Amino acid sequence: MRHALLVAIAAASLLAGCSDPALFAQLEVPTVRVTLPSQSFPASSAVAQYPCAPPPAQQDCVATDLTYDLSTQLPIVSKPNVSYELRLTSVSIALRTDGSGTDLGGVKAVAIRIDPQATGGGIVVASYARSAADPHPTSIAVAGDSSVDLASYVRSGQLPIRVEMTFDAPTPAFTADVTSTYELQAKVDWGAYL
Amino acid sequence: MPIAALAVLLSTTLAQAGVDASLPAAPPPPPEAAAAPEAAKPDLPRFGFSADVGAPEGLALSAIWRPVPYVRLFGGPNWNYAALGFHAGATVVPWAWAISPTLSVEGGRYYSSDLTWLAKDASGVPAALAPLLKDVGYTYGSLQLGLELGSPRGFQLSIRAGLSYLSLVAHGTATVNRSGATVELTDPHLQATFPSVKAGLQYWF
Repeated sequence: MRHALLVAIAAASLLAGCSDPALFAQLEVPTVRVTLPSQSFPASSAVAQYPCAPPPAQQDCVATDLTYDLSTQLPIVSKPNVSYELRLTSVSIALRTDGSGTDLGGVKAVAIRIDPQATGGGIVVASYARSAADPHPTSIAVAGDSSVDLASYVRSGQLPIRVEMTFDAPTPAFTADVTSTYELQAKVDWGAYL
Repeated sequence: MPIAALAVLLSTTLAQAGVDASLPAAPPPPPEAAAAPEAAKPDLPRFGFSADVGAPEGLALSAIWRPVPYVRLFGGPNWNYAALGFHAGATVVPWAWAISPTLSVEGGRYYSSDLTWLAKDASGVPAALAPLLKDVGYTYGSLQLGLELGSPRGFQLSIRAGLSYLSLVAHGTATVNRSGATVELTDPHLQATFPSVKAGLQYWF
């Protein structure tokens, strides 16, 4: 019986020595899909509001800034004693049928840039190149780099992203639904509340 | 159970154990004096059953087997109002007196159940989460220290407390509209640790 007590004491010591909190709740959501409906994208001929990064600005590239308000869309990420990881797995830009554009055939490439205001222009976490098999798509699916944890790019609950579109054919302004898909892992150290 | 009934039960079981109820625990007899009665005393019963209530196991019924005096294995069905499940575990009891400390480890599983009735905005669970509550099951494990009061040959009351781990998977997709965006959550998986307690009755035969 002494052995059993020693094992129990050793187990308790190990728990106490762990860096992870002993009392926690961890939420893993393999698919979080956030859709921003009816986002306006400028025409290929528009004067870019922002130059596509990195400089020098490309003449055939137009950038559009979007913001995900994670503090309201995923409230858990802004709660106290919560640490989290947020990884982008994909972005899709789907032309709305009620918009003026007919297709996205003039879009040669797309890059999704996180934290575009940062020195160096942030990082590209998703990219797309038009497929020869589908030269006139009505939606663009952009594969994400899920190795990047976006949590460190969230400022006051806001995740700013920049969509950089490179055109090789005239494209009118269009309206599209932008859907970002993430993997979310949030951990609450609720022992801190005790 | 009323307090008076518990007191009667406790005094009965203490009497069965040959213990004065006014004392917290009888000191072990001297080795010379104990040798003769110990030889005559029958072995502890090997089988028993128990009924416990606590979190996260809910209401649990167990068959108990005591392969050696200090170790018990147990298992059986459990119920948490929403679903049925099962559990199994082991308890180490360093000595079998009228008051005995215990160390228990236990694991269990609740089958999937439909908890959509919980999803009402008034109850604090948003109605939009109802699709995630259609198919919910969980697995748990507990490590608990406790005390048993009563005869190791008859009735015993037990109380235990410790740390539990729970893993819950909800299958489905919930859709909510927030600040102009549509947010869909699919197949969330919750893991948590939390303090747990359990109280119960057991009977040996």
